[in-house]
Amino acid sequence: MSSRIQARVTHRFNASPERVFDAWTRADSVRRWLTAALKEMGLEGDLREVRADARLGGAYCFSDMRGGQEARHWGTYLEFDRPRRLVFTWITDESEEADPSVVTLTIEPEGSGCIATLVHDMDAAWADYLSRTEQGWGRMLRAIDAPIAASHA
Amino acid sequence: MVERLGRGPASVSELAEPLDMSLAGVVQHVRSLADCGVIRTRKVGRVRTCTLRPEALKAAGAWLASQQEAFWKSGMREIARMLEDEDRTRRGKQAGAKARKERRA
Repeated sequence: MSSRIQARVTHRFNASPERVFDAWTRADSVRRWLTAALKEMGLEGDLREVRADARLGGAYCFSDMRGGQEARHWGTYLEFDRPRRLVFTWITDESEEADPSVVTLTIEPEGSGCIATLVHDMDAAWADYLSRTEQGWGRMLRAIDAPIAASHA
Repeated sequence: MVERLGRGPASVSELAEPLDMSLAGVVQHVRSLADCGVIRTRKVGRVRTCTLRPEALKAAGAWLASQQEAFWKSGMREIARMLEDEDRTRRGKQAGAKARKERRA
């Protein structure tokens, strides 16, 4: 009963495809926008490590502090076709290494700017989920649990 | 609790065991989870068994996707903001250089 779930986002930029592509793959740029994006999500946005080996097969990673703990994200570039297409794995826990979620970013020129479309493909196989409950999905299920527990604490 | 049920059905006392919570608190929590459709409970004799509902997992999957979507959305927004900042800085520098040139002329 394997199934996939997808998150999909499209954004129009008043900038060249090259500049948008580089924003995703250059560590100094990633640090800047990610700090703001994490804060926007209600997180601390306290980035520690940000590394990106911007080439096909290269690895990236970043970490940020969440409640005194370092949350790590990492992956490798499966496709690196500047400035059109970037595909990378997105891993937040060792248990996901065997079947990582995959992010595909496509950038198409449009007028004086470009349109970027991102699709994050995640495994929603519950059988698989059962085998890695302790991490990953477990974290999410705990997140569902917490507000319910708090509501009658 | 939900995480424990992800590994299979459990009785209320089994759920309570690893938790630092009163039994009354656990019962209350079980009731809340059942009320909002996350779990199903069945009482056989004196034992109430709790099971995670597959529909709830599906909803959890949708929730995960929406969380991830929100994250990438703010990522895109912040990239746009960063690039606009760069443009503004560059335009500012160019305008400054032009003004200096005009003053010299």
